[in-house]
Amino acid sequence: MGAFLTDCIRTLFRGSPAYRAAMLIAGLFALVGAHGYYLQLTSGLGVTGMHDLVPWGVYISNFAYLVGVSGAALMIVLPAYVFHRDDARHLVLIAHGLAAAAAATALLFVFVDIGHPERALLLMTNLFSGKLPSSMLAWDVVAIPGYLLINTAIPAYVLYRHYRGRHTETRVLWPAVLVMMCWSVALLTEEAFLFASAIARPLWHSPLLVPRFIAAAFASGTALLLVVLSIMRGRGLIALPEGVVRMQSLIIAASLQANLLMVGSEAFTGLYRPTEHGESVRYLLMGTPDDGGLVPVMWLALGMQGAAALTLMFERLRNLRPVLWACCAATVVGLWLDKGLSFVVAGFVPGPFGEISSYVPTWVETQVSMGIWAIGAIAFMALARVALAVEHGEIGRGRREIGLDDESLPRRPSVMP
Amino acid sequence: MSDSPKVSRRRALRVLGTAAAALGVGGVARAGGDDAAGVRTSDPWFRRFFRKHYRRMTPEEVDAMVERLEARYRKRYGREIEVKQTPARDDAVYGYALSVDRCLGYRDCVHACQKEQNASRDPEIQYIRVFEVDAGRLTVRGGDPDYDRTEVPAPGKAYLPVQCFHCDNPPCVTACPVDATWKEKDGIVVIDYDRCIGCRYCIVSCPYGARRFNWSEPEIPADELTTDTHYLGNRPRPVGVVEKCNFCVHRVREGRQPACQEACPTGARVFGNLLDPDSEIRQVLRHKKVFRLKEELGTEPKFWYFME
Repeated sequence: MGAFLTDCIRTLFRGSPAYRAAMLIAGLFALVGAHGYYLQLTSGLGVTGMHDLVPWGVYISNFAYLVGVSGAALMIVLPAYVFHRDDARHLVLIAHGLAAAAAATALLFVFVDIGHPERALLLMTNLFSGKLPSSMLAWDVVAIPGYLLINTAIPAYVLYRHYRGRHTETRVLWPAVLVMMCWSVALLTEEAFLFASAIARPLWHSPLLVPRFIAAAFASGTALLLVVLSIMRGRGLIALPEGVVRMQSLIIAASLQANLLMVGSEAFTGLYRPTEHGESVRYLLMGTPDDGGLVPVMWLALGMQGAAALTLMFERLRNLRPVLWACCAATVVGLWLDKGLSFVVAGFVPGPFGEISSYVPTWVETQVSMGIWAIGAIAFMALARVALAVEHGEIGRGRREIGLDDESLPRRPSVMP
Repeated sequence: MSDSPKVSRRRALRVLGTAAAALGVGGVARAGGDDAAGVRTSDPWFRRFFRKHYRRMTPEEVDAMVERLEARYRKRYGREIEVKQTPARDDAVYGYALSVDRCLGYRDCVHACQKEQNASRDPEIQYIRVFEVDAGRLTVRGGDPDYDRTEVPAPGKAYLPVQCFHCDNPPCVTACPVDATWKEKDGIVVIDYDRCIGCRYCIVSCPYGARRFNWSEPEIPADELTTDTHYLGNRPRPVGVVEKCNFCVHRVREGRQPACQEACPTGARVFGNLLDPDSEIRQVLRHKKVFRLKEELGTEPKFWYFME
C-alpha cells in the first residue's frame, strides 16, 4: 500500500513536457487565486461585487455549475456498468476523476464564499446540530464530500488492484458503483433543491428546477468530459472509441434540447402576461428600463445552446469532429453563462420588494475564481496521471501480469513516453 | 553508542517526565491565565473553538464566554460593554404593529436603531428600511427605500417601514445549515454571531430583505457605542457574519420598549406582548384593520400594518 502511494505521488512529478507545462501554468493561476483570496480574507467579502441585495454571485454560480459537471460522470459510468458498454468501461476512471475533481472544486468555491470558513470546517463535526433534514445547504455539505469520496474510492480500489497485478472483484466494485450512480442523481437533485426551496426568490422557486438542473448538468458535464477525452486522445494518452463519442454527443444533443425546452417553458410563463412571479424572467430576457445588465449574457447563452442543439441534431454534422468540438465548447460556455451566472444572479433581481440592483464581479472575485478552476484542473490532471500510469504499467504490475486483453485496461495506439 | 538499556530507559523517562511537567504547568497557566491586557480570560482557544451550541451551554460556560467577549471589547473600544444573557420570559411572545397613517417617513427609527444596535457606520448598516410609496398604491413593492428629501411627508406619498418581522415560521431559520439562527421562546428570531459561518443562505431565504451581512470589518466610533448589550442582540459583531433586527432583545426582556418604538415621534409604532390580552398590540389587532406582507408565503410574520 505504501509503495502504491509513493509510486503514485512520484508519478505526479513525471510526465511529458506538455503535462509539466500544463501543471505549471495551472499552478501559476492557482497562486494568483491564492493572492486574491488572501485579499478577501484580510478585507472581508466586501472586495467582491456582492452586496445585501445580491448576496450570491460568481462563486456560487461556479459552484452550481461544477456540481452539475461532477454529476455528469454518470453518463460514462452508467453505460459502462449497466448497459455493459465495454468501450465506455475503459474510460470510467477518467470519468470518476472528473467527478472527483469537479466536486472538490465546487467545495472550494463554497469555502471561499463564506465569511468564516474556519467555523464551517469545525461545525461539520457537530453534524449540523440537527439541521440536516431541513437545511438544504447542510445537505450540500454531506452530499458533495460523500460524492467526492466515492469517486476517489472507486478508482483508488481499481488502480490499487491493477497495481498489484490483480483483477478487481465485482462484489466490491459493483455496490460502490451503484452507490455512485444513485448519488450522482441525488446530488444534482439536492443541488436544485438548494435553489428551489427559496420561496423568497420566484425565479428559483419552480418545480422545473430539478429537471432543468439535471438536463443542464448532463449537457455541460458530458460536453466538458468529451472535450477532455478528446484532448487526452489527441495526446496519445487514451483510446477514444467512436462508439463512445457518438453516445456522448447524442446525450449532449438530447440534454441541450431538454434544457432549452424548459427555458422556453419558463420564458413563456414569465413573458405571456406580466406578473410579479415572472419579473425575474423578464429581467433576464428583456431587462428593465434602468438595468439591462444580464440581457446580452442570457441571449448569448441561449444562442450558443441553440446553435449547438440544432447542429447536433444532424448526424452528419455530429460526426464531424471539428463541428462536434465547437458544439461542445458552445455547450460548456453557454451553460455556464445560463445556469451558472445568469440564473444565480437573476434570482435576486428584482429583490424582495422589487428592488433592481446590479452585480458586477470584481477583479478579486475573478482572480479567486480562476485560481480555483486552476486547482480543479490540477486535481483532474493529477488523478488522470496516476490512473494512466497504473493502467499503462508505468508503475506497478498492472500491464505485465494481467495481460493486454484484460478488459479493464484501455487500448491505446502507442506507448506513453 | 548508546548506554546500557537500563540507564537509557531511565534517561528517557526523565526527559519525558520533565517535558510533561512543563507542558502541564504551561497548560494550567494558559488555561486559567491572564491575557495580554492583564484581564482574566478563563477560556483557552481550543475550548472556544470547539464550543457547544449556545442553547446547550451550561451557565458557567456561558459566563466564561461572555467574560472573554467583554475583555475583547474592552481591548478594542476601550469601553466597558456589558453582554447580558437575559433569557426569554415564559409568558411573552412579542409582536409589532405599525400605523400606516401615522408614519410620515422621518426615519428617526432607522437612526435610533442603528445607534442602539451598534450597527456599523462604515459600511453603513441599517436594519430598518422605510419605503416611500404612492398613497394610491399602498404596496411596498416598487417603493423607494432610498428617498432623499428635505421635507417629509411628500404630498401623495405614504411610508412603510420594513424590518425583520420575526416570523413565526421563519424561512431563514430553516435555511441555516449550522443552527446559528433560531426562534427563541418569546418569538424573537436571534443570531449567534459566534456560530454564523457567513454563508448568507438566510439572506437568500428571507422574503422581506431583512438581514444584513458584514461585508467588511464594522466601524463604530467608540464614543457612540451602546454598552448595554445582549449576547444574542446588539453586542458588537465581527466581520463575515449576518445580523438583523432583534426586537432590541436587551431592552424588551427587561420590560422596556425597542429603540425604534421609543424614537418614533408620531406614535406610529406599537410593540408589546401578544400573549397579554390587555396589551396595546392586542388592542390594535382586535380593533384595527390590519395586514401583513406576503401572507401567501406562509411565514407568519409578527409585524402588522394597520389603518387607524
